[in-house]
Amino acid sequence: MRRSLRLYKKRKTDVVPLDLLIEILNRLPAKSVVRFLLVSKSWAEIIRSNGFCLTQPLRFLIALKTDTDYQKRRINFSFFSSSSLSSSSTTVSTSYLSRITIPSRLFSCHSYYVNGLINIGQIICNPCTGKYITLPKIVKTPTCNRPSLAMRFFGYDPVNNQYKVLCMFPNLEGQEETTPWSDFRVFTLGDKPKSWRLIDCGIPQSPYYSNGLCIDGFVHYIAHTGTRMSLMRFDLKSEKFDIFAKVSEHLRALWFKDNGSGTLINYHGKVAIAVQPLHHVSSIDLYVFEAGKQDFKERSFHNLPQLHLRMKGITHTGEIIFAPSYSRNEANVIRHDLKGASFEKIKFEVDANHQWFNESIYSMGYVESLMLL
Amino acid sequence: MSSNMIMLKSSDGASFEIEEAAARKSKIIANMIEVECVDEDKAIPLQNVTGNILALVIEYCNKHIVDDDDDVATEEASEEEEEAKKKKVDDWEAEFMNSMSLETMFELLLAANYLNIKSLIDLVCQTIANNIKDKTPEEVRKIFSIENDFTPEEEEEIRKENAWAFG
Repeated sequence: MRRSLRLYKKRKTDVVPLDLLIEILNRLPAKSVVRFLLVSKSWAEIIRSNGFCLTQPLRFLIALKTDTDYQKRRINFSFFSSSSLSSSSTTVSTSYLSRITIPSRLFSCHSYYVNGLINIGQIICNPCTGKYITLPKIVKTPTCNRPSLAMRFFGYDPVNNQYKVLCMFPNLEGQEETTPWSDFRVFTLGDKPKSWRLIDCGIPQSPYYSNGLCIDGFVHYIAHTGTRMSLMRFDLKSEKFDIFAKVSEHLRALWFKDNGSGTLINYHGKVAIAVQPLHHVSSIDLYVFEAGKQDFKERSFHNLPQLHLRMKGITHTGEIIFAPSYSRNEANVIRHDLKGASFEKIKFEVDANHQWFNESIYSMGYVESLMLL
Repeated sequence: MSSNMIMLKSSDGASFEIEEAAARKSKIIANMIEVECVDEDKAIPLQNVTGNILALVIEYCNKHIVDDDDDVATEEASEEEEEAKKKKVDDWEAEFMNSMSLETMFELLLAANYLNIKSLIDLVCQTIANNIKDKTPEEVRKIFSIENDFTPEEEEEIRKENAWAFG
């Protein structure tokens, strides 16, 4: 023992091979990793390299919109991450991450969370560090004369470790909902100078009001393609579109009636849509898509504890998580346990300095990221 | 399952007897057995592993013979039994790692890497990470025998850029 210990101490540097050092570093919390940028230049190089990523258990990201300052036209967001959900408790502790203040003109109620970063309105923010960038400005052109009508989706390509925003604009003469759109653009996070790149759409389409869902490097959304509705798929790597599946007439009718409040979710790796079929009844139907086919109804949830819940996704233990589309002063989600068929409110204990908050965003699967350092 | 015993010999000449099933947790040894370069009467020499570390590796392998061996057993066991079993293994691993110094952990990590035992690499890396996560950069340099090659100005710059992590 003593002999080997001395041996170990004698080898001054490179005690731990690089691959093992990376294995150790990517098991650390983000805060520790960033502190260890100071250890040495070679450590800083490893941590800042493109392929470096952290592995962490399933958690929630909670974004609270707090005390809007109407006079200065500014909006504040406070970010919290939850500890991982355990199946027994109904209160979950959180840790404060950061707080940002943004001009209210950059805000819109759409937000997307992918792989550690959140896109709210026209900013992309790393809640872990509280740093954010604004998306490049859209300059009016003949094909894009009403920037405010744009559809915007945020996605992550795990192969190239790139974050991209897809932005689409309706046609100038677009009187009908089904008139194909003409202006499609992509912004890649980190591009210098910061700008939108026009891309070829290939398939005539007019995106219909839906959220976008990113799974494994593909962004999915709903669009009119000719006379029918389709689930579109955008490959973040090749930047090509294709029609992934067909939307049934039944679902299409529901979708219109529901005023587009349907939500795309990741259902065991498949794309699914959760729709509330009747406006005044608290039930939700879940339709699942498979490649090249028409959607089918997977299941229904009845007697939900409140109206206008959004389905968020499924935990690793198979429980379904719902969140209110907006909530004030209390941060809650609802967990549906398939076995007991019960609905259970889970309260996040957030220390928002007793501040009033008027909206909240809940994202599942939060991981700390070192992007935008 | 065969209960063949094989012999392992450490770099400092200590010999250990181990069940073949346990030794197969090491991809390297499993490979040697596959290509039949294991002589039943002769010990396998492991030149990069000392006796005290090899003893720890063998203790770990013996404890993990059953768990990922056959899926049939897992399918039959009920969910609660599975959970209880997993908890027992977790507790054992925590106890096992708790008893050693950081120096020993690094040696064990190198041995696990050399013998190619993925689950042990994961366990040791996670334990080392837990151990160093609250340490200062200075303390980490000491542990990894690293010289600080930043100028005070560069250091100040990093601190300023990432103030959130140094709070």
